[in-house]
Amino acid sequence: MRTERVANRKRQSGFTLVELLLATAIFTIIAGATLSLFAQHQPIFNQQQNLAEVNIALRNAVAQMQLDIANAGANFYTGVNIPNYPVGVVVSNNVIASGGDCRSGTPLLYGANCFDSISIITADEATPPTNPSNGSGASVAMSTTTLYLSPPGSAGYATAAAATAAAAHYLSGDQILLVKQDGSQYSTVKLTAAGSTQTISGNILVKLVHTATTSCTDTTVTPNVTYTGCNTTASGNDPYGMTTHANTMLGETYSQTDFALRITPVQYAVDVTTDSSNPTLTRTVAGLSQTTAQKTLATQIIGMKIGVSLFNSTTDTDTTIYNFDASSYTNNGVAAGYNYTLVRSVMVSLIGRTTPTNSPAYVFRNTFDNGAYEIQGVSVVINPRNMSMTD
Amino acid sequence: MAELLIAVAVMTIGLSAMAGLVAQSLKGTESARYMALATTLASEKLEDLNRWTAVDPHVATGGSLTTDTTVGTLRYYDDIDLSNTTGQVSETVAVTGGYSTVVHMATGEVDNNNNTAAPSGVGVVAFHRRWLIEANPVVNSITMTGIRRVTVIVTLNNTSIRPVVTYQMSTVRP
Repeated sequence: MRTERVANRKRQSGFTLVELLLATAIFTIIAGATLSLFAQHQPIFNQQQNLAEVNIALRNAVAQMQLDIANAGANFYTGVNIPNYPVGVVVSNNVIASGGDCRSGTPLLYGANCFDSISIITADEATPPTNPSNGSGASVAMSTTTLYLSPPGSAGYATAAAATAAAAHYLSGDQILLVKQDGSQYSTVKLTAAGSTQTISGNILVKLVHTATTSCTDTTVTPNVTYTGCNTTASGNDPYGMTTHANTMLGETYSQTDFALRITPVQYAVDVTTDSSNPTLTRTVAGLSQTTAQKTLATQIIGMKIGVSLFNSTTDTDTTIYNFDASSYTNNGVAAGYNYTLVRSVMVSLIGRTTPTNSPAYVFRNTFDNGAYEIQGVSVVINPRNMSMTD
Repeated sequence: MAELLIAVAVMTIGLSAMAGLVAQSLKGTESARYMALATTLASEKLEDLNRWTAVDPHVATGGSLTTDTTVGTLRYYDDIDLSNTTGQVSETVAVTGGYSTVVHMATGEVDNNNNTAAPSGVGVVAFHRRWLIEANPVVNSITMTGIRRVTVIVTLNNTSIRPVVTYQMSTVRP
């Protein structure tokens, strides 16, 4: 009877103290090892997530640039057969000498010269191309400050209402691109007043008042060559840099067989003035009211360089594939600085970084400036489709 | 005691599985990032090949997706090196008689060099690209006369990444 009671008590009893201690010890060891494993994974996980974030930001930026650059030169000659596109992209290069460094200070801050910028020139699709003149059917020089517009192939608008509607497209501050009908020359002016209408010799025309172009001299060649149709003296007259350097494509005078286009360029640049610790890639669309957030394409961009390949001939033998200095463009070995007509493809090289952190838990340091951030680079090539259509 | 051992065993298996899951997730993230880069690089090469005119020898039919092919002095392969630590983007493209390497450094400097040999990609993320250009390709048993199909394959050289990162993309052009 007593033996049975003892057996029942044994069956009903819980763990002994030794068993409990043993269980706790084993649990602690296993849990400790597992948590240690998680702790080791955590920085790697964060690193991967941060890099993935940078990668996504770069890809988004690149995708937008691909869309814009591929369409450079769009709407120039709507409904008109034209043999050549004079300007589709304008690149502003900041060349850093070999061994140089665009960064300065501690911690290192990125200066404006660390980055190139690119303007994509497209005509406003809502504003039809027009023919420029001096109002009397003769050619007009952009060194003057007034030009008159008529519909393509016509001496004037059919009605005053049509002219008023056309004039309403032009606002003060708009950029106008003048191009020769064969694409051989171009120039640009900025409107200083909104468009208006005027009837001259029975022709109803749109009148535009604008900044005046000047002449400029290419001093890199001997003998020096002077061109007209430049905007080298007043920088605000051509904020996109189409005519701010002497080049062979510039011209001053345009006739009623040529075209005047209201352009709406898209500009990509890196802003280091708003926050020098966070260089930000921006996309600015002319004529569009954008907030800072709307302009921001990607943050923490520490490198943007734009190279272009240039047309030489139908069978290209140039081994310098991409040129990252617009002043040294060449055409079949002949100097052709700033001649953007030759651009056939654009290489965009972007370098982004993870947001620098002061967290002591973040142990990673890169090897080039010992900064607490990682780097992701991407390089893409984009063809402006309109620029190569006649090759 | 037996219950205890079983409980410990179950817990061990469970925690180990979770740790393995985390490791697998990390691998997946890394692989996806490289795949995204490979996609961009394939697209870049197709664009790059698209800029040549139809009569240009750079887009003559030839090449291979499985071996590095050279026809005359023209190579149908190249290399891209990216560095996560030095901030350097290095792109080597095949040109007539050699390679052209564009190196974009975080210092803002761009070096554009012509070399006879491809630079080594030690210590960086290195991709290898091959391309194949076919004239009058056959698609769904129909011969597409007068066009060329360009196919690019991009492979990550780092074979420790599993699954192997490789991406193929095609386009057609005149």
